[in-house]
Amino acid sequence: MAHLKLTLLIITLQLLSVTALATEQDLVVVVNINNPTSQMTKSQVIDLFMGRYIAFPNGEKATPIDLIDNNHIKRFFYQNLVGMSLARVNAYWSRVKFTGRVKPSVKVPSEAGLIQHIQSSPLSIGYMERKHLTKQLKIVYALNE
Amino acid sequence: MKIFILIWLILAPLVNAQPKNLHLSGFGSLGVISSDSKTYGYRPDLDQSDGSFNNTPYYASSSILGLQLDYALPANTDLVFQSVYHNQNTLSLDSTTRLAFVRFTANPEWSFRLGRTAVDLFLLTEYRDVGFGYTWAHTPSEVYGLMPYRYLDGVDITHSAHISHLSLRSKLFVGTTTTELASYVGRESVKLEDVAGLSFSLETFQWSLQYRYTSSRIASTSPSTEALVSGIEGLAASVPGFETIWPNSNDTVDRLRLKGQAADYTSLGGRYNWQSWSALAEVSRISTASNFNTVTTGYTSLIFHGQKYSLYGIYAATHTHLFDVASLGVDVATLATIPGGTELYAGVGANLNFYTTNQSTWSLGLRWNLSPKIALKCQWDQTRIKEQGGVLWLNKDFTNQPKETVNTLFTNVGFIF
Repeated sequence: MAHLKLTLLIITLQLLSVTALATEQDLVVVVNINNPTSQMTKSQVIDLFMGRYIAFPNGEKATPIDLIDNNHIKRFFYQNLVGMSLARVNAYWSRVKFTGRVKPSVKVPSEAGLIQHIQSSPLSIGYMERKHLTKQLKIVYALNE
Repeated sequence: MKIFILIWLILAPLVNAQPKNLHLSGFGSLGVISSDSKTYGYRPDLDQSDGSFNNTPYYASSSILGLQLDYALPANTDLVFQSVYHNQNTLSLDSTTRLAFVRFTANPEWSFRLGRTAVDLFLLTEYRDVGFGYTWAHTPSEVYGLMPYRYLDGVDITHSAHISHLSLRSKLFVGTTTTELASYVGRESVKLEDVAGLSFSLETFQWSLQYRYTSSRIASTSPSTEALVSGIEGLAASVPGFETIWPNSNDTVDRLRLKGQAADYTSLGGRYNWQSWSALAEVSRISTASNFNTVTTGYTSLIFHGQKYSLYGIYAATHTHLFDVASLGVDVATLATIPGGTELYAGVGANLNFYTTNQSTWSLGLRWNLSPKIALKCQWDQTRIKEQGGVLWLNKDFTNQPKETVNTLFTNVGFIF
């Protein structure tokens, strides 16, 4: 009986983790609904969030909004986008930032803060779970498509 | 160590309570180095006058703390200030300031910076002190040990362009820089003027190819070299027929004198990322017309990245042609009859070969990411130093540089905040 309970517990935990993974992987990159950008390529999103070329495809300067490190959405976003752990992403950013090449990105503690920021700024861009999309936001790139 | 803790206690609360247009951040590392030679003491570069000898743990040159303020101004302008504490010989605002510039970003393609920026001579020169930023426990001494320069006071212009998925980044910079060179006989300041350079990179997120060229002119005099020059000129004025004993002594004087000599730096390097693997390589060259002989250096490294750790190996080498003192054509036997002549000749020989570095290093190491912002790194180096090739190391008697194999162990914790 004890063995059966343990097996059920493991299966339940695994199902929960799979569900959580599926949800977290359904991430989208969004901009303000008034931003003229309608679509971006993976390469353009990488350039923008890795500080390589911080502009929209039409040449307009962009403001990337990032989450703070202990947010699990951030971990999944970078793992899926560039295939790197947060430690490697931070190492990359420390090379860019502490040489004075690029301004540090704006960091917010939660998805709610990120949504609020992008809704109030037409040139901001950020990433979030698709399920939290609002009418003031527009998807320009989906990670799982 | 106390100053690190004190600064951290003062600044930690500020990091989380910043105004919207002000960003405070920082980096640092705490580490220990142990090297097993009694003759050669390990030091990261030539501005350090302390090193690790005979397995004695050495902390100072492996520990560093940097603080950076980014302040956004209206009209696409921002200010950046970075201060670094790193075992400086003299603590002053000038010696601790690494970045202090105003930047105007005209558009995503063009930006201009005026003030103190990081010197951009080789592939990793700009961030060599940001240990968290690279996988290794230290940058290869063969390439970066001869380069104590950290900043450039001047201006730069950067152009970024995108062609399909390729990024092209070009930078032009001009300015001046100063550093110190240290040895057991003392410390000397070296100033470079008329520094003008080009940095060019072509990259995707998977690979990068970078080229740099910088020309400069040495603007300072070296007291130790001037003493030798005075010695030769004194003998030329007082000893009849000195030109037969030391032919073309004026040429020797010109060769010795640093001031006004050109110094050029060239680097070609790149990186390739493939799944969990990264490969890096760089070849560089320092050439001058003076007693800094032409130095050719390079390294290659292979890194495996796990989720929490990285394993790596590095091979680095440096080569310099020794100056043949006999080619001066000095009549050594006759010179020895003049008081001080033998010592002067030995001093000139040592001076003209002071910057000859001939060695190679195999390294193995591990980086363990304890958190997204903290990494523990351990690295073992085995360095084969050729005779008269150990200028990168501290040596209590620089006229005696024997061939030796030296093992050095590095352990440090790098962090950002």
